[in-house]
Amino acid sequence: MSRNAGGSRVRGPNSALTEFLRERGIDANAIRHRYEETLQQQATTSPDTVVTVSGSSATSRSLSRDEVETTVSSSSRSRKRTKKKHEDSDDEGELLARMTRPRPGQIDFCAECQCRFTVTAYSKTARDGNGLLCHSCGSKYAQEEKQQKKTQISSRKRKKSIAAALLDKQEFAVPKLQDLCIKVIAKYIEDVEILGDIGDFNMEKIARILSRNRSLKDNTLKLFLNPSIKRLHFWDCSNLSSDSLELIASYCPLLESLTLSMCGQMTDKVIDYYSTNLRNLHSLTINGGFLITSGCWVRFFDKIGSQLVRFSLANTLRFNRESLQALVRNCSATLEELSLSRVGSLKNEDIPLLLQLPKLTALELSYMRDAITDDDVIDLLRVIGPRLVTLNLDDSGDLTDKFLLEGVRPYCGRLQNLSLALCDGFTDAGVRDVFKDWEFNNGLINANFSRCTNVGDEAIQALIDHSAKTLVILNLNSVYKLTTATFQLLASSDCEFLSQLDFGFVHCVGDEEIEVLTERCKSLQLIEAYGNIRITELAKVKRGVKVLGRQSDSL
Amino acid sequence: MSGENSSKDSGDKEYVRLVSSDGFEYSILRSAAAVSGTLRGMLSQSSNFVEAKQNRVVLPNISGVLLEKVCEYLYYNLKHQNNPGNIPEFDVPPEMALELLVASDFLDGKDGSIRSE
Repeated sequence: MSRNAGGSRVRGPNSALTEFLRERGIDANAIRHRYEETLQQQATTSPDTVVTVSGSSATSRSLSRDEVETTVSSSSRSRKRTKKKHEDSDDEGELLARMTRPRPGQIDFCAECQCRFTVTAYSKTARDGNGLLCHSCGSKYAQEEKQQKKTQISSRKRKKSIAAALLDKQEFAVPKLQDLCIKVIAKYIEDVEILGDIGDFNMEKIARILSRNRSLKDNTLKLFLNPSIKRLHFWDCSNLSSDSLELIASYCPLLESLTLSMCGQMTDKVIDYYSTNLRNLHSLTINGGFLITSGCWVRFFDKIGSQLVRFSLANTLRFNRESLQALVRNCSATLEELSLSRVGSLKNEDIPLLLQLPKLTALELSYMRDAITDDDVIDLLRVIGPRLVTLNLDDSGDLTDKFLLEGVRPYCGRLQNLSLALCDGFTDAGVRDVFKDWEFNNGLINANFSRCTNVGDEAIQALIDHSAKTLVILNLNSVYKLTTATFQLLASSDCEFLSQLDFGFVHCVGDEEIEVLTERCKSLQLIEAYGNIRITELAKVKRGVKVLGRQSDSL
Repeated sequence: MSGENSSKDSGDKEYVRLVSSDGFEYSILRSAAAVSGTLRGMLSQSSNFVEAKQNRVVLPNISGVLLEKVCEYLYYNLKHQNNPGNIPEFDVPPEMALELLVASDFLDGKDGSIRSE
């Protein structure tokens, strides 16, 4: 308290605050003096305090600390309130409290058991803030504090794990024994010699976990290969060498459906080997096989193209016109589902080749901005549109209303799944005119208009009017122009099958809308609401409906 | 909870007995056994199975060590199913994970909806 009392010029290291206060001429003694004066003024009303103030300096010190500490330890809200009122006295009080604490080495009396003890830097303050505690009393409280902290941490952990389960779109429940086992197996997969007869379903689960952990390697791959298997799905093959990828065909010659994602090490040799060995293959999905040349694809289709029913390719620059020509030449009789995503080597003059695939029921040409134009796609739909059930043209920014009005509306009578994410060429009126009185089509089951930023209320309301009875999945992520009217219509139009709804970043949606929606749409299970700041934890969501992305979940 | 129970049949309907392939018997609460879809079906009073009449299930494909772990899980699930928020980890020894997976697949019953009725 009296650091400078002797007027000594010798000073130890100072904090920036002390330096600042000294520069301003703010002195601890002066503050204390002023504080005691105010106390005295207050004391005129209550006789109790008069006694303490006029009493020994020790008691007055403890009283002042008492007052100060209670303000400090009270809840932050009430603290703010008091701070507004007595900002000055509070600040001074805190300073005082810091100064009046006995320094380590001093002798003090325990606030609890009144015994004499030496103050250390670790001495605890009493619960009521009045005085310090001796070692034995302090450690007693420390135990309780520890317990408190433990429960705090565990409750935080719990909230976190609930939020994590939510993100995986899973119910938060006691884990199944199967899942526990699978987790352990995936963890120790390096030590497993053979998986044995655990069933295809469990195999696939383990494969998924390994892919997610990035631990699907040459040695772990062999655990999944056996001669009788007909379906294989690996989602992360980045650690598999081309030799291992070849092994798949030699170990599992009966494969009918094969999915390989992120297979950056796959070479021509592997695909050539597949085409000679996989006699029953009818469904192939290759993602990220960027080393495979166009010539190899031509050989592949010439060899087993005539048996392919599904073909899906993504993320490559080497699948070009020649490859596509080979595909349509060989697969025209069988191919029903074709998906080309981020295949940058295809140009818009290649799209008409698809006219020769009359059996197509599902077509995806996504993320190929330059290749997709109105006229080409309209010509295509004129031929294949009547059979199409699924159409995905995500990120085709050059498409305009013309495509919708002259392609989709007149030809796509069977269409059930329509995905047009990131297509910002459509206008509100254009989309409205497609769905308005579109009796030719019986209704969409899955509609994706996410990030169609020029689409607004009229379009989506027309869609709801048209497909309310059939919609199961509706994605309106980032359709900024929507207003609450659309969501009121959605709630009132009795969408009995609607189970998944995404309106992330549609700012108009708030607690009220979400409550009505979950109340009225009986099948609703999942709502994705990322970036909807008006949805709070107070929203009363019906039991069984998962709401993803609320800010309050993760805080 | 677990451990060999060699006492004679008490006739207490609250408890059922699970018998492992190597002859170990575990006497557990009926409600714990009902966590497993397969066991619940076998022990269901409405059924006419021998298991339901004797309150005793012989599991010839599950060894004693494994069955003990299974019983442990059944009680773990029973204890926490109403409060899944703050539960301790269930320890699965790596060396029995694969066998336990097969056993749990058998015991859970194929249809997941059986469990959540």
